[in-house]
Amino acid sequence: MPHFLLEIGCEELPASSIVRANRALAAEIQGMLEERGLGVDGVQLYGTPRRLIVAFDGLLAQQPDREKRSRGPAVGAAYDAEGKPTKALEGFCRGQGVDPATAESDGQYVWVTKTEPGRPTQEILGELIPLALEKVPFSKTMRWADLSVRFARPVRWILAAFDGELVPCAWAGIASGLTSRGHRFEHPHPFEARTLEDLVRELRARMVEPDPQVRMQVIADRAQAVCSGTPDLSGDLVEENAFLTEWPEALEGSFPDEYLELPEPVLVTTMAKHERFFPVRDGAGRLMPKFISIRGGGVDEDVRKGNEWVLRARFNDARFFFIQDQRRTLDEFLEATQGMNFDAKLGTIRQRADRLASLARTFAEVAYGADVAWVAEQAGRYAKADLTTGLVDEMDELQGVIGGVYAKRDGMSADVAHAIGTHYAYQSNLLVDSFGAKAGLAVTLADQMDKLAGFLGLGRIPSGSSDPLGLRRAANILIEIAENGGAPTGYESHLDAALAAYAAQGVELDGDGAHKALKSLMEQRYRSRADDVPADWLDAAMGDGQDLLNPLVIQFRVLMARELAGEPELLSTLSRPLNLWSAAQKQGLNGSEGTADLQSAEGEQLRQQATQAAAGLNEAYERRDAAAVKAAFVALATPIHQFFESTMVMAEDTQVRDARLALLRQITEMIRPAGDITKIIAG
Amino acid sequence: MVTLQEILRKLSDFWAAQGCAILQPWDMEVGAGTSHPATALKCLGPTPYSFAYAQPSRRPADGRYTRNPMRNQRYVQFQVMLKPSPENVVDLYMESLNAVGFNVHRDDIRLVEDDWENPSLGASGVGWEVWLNGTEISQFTFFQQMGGIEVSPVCAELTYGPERLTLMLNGQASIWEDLQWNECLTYRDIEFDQEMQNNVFNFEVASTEMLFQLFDMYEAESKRVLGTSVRWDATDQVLTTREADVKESDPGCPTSLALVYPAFELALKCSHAFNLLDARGAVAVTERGRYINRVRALVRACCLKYMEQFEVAKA
Repeated sequence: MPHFLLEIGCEELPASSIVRANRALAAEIQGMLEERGLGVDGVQLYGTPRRLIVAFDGLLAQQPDREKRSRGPAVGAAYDAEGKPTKALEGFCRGQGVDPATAESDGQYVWVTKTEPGRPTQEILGELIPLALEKVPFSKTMRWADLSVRFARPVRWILAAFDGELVPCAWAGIASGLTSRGHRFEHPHPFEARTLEDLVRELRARMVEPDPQVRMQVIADRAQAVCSGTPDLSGDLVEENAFLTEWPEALEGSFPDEYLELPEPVLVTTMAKHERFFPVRDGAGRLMPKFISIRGGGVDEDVRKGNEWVLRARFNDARFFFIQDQRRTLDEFLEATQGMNFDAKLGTIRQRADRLASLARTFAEVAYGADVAWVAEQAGRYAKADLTTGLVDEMDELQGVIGGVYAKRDGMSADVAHAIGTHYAYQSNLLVDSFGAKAGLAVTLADQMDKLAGFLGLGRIPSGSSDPLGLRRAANILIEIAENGGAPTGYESHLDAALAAYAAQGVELDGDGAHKALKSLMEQRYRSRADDVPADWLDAAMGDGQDLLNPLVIQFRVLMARELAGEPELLSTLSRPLNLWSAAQKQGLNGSEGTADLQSAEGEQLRQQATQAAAGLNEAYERRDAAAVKAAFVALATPIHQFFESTMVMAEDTQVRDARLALLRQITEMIRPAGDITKIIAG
Repeated sequence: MVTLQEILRKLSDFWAAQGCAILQPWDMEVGAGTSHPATALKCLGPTPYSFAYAQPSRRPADGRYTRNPMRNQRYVQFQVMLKPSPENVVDLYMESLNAVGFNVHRDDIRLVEDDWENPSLGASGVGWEVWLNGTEISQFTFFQQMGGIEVSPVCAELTYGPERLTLMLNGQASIWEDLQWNECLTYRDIEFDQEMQNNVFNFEVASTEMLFQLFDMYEAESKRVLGTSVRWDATDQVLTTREADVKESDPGCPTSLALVYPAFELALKCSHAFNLLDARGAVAVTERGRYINRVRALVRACCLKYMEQFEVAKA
């Protein structure tokens, strides 16, 4: 079956955009083909900084004929008394291009069926390509020259071949062709390719490896092969390099030993983040004065010389600040934060340090106990001191880390130094296994909660895509910390503590506003973090909004919804008492007048079973064990069902009615901690 | 060994051969080559232009009292502006690297995503940092906006740091220790005095009180000048503020009917006053945005006026 090959040649695309753009381009084309009755068997995607390649197998050469039914005149108007077509029907059929004899009646109207002949797939593809290119999603697009089209970077060529033949089309002032190009510098001349197989083979002969997986493997293999120690291949650096090069090669370079005196994070950040080099370690894990660089062109000798030159220049720069910083202690840096505003209304960084100290102590005490609390307090106080150091001024991504290094230098405890060093660069996969790590997490929490309380208390709520203060990220961190056990009882009290810390410094904030804003921010975060969770489960989990500051409760309720969603009968049974109780409340009834007498054997049975089940159910809630809660619900379902089938809750006798309502309240209160399960759509 | 003067000459020669007019630097303190009106204003409107020029740029806060081997408060940006951006603009740029003495077959050149912005000018673009063997040697931008106005057609702006290029080509470490201006004079011979003295001035001596006043005065003057109505006297072929001179309005006016350049220059003066205040640490972090917005508003007003000439032409 015919094969379709599309290559979009571009100037260098942003490394982070290539995979997504490639997938979207393929999905867009596939979707549009399917809409036109053209299925595909297999899709292959390749991408480099300079090209997006999409290939489909199993296409038909011709779109299948499609039948289209159209409604004509009413039967009465379509035929005359003798049953012959009227002018109206003839006119309609002429318009449709069909013989009136083929018209069919459904008793009311006349219908004709028209066969739309399939068109050549090649022609359809030519129409689809420009449409698909308009829709490729990039986080940022641009215009170029005098064109009005948008893409992530200028498009230079379009190779489009169907069954080995050109698919004529044009976009961005470029006519499609059957030629591609190789490596930007070494093989710039166009060459012909009519199938994916051709293209891949010819690209490889021209210093372009189209397959990102292969490039990543090459980078990892070559890095190890040329390395005199062990290259640090962790993180995203292999992938990033794979999307910055079309033909990656690795080389090892070195730098003078003297720079090893710089703090390790400075060396690693300079190499990995700024230069995208792999740091090299010896057998004992110590940094060696070496690096591995990935090049996409040139020759080892010249590139190595240049790489070594720039690294030395960067290390020199860092050393200048490091030496200056040696003249002051962390205490002095902390005092210097008096001259640095956190925010005009929220005071100086020095004032903030006092708040972070007290918050970190309180939070650590709640989550981990008194042992960790004093470490957290110390770390909280010094966490932001490094903002006045030369190194952080120069490399702001090392916030906190440098504070940790200098704390150690000044002889502070290893735990305090660790906590300072880890508080800022919060990572969700953090191993929380030591005093220092726990204290660090408490400081992270203090940092984020202080920021949220302050800015939300001033009414600076993030809107649209703009979040200059990083409050959404802060809310995300709260959720992740809770999931890591850092906030077993939720954040209500944390927020109160943070607001109180401002109040103690005479900063006036709108506390209620902050609570409300944080709840709404957290709700947005739960939703955006859980884009694979059905919206109704989340609605159920959020319930009445009272527990939005407790991520573990929300998380448990989502699990609960997952347990219950597949049980339509159970859900509908459990919903009955909830719905009726809430309807009764709306009428101002609360069951308070009731006697003990339910005047219903089934009611008595339900009350007895509910009372018996209560302890076990509470325990299951405590353990946040969704399966056990569900089991308890299943056990209650039968008596609930029997009660409703046999007994009319809204009895005439108000005392009996209230007794029955009180039973409903009891049941409701047992179910409610699982969320608002009436919102779950079964199925 | 190559000298700084040689590199500047090679860049000028290369771009002159591509049809660029080689301009002189704008005779004012600017933060970057982009602020030269040949880019900042002429990037707007439909007229095609190709320019190249070496623009001394002032970044008072970047001064390091000559202690940093590659950073100073006044340095040269070699700037190329091509409107509309030619289809082969990336290839042309790569040829320019060969022309100054790099070798695209021996060096590793990468185009790394970088979306450039200049908030004071209300300018933004999409493009790359160009890395040569790991060193950023150029900013390569397709202008999308200037003064908050969408530019059309889009121009390409290429910016080189000639001092750094020269060091790299020679494998040298420091502009202050190694760099030769020409065969006889070093960079230090020519630049050290001004650099050192201006560092002291920028960081320690400049009167912040005066600068705050200047900022306000330049701002007010820029607004006043831009608001001053001028007419085209078709008889004498001059712009004039005197209404009485003008017999009838002439659609053939070859310039904006506003004093865009003087108003823009006053905005640049505001910008430099702000940069000095920033270096003096006189502007609180939360205040910075407000000052930048004030400059941007002036620049935007100039750009809008500049654009009016094309609307008139269209009508």
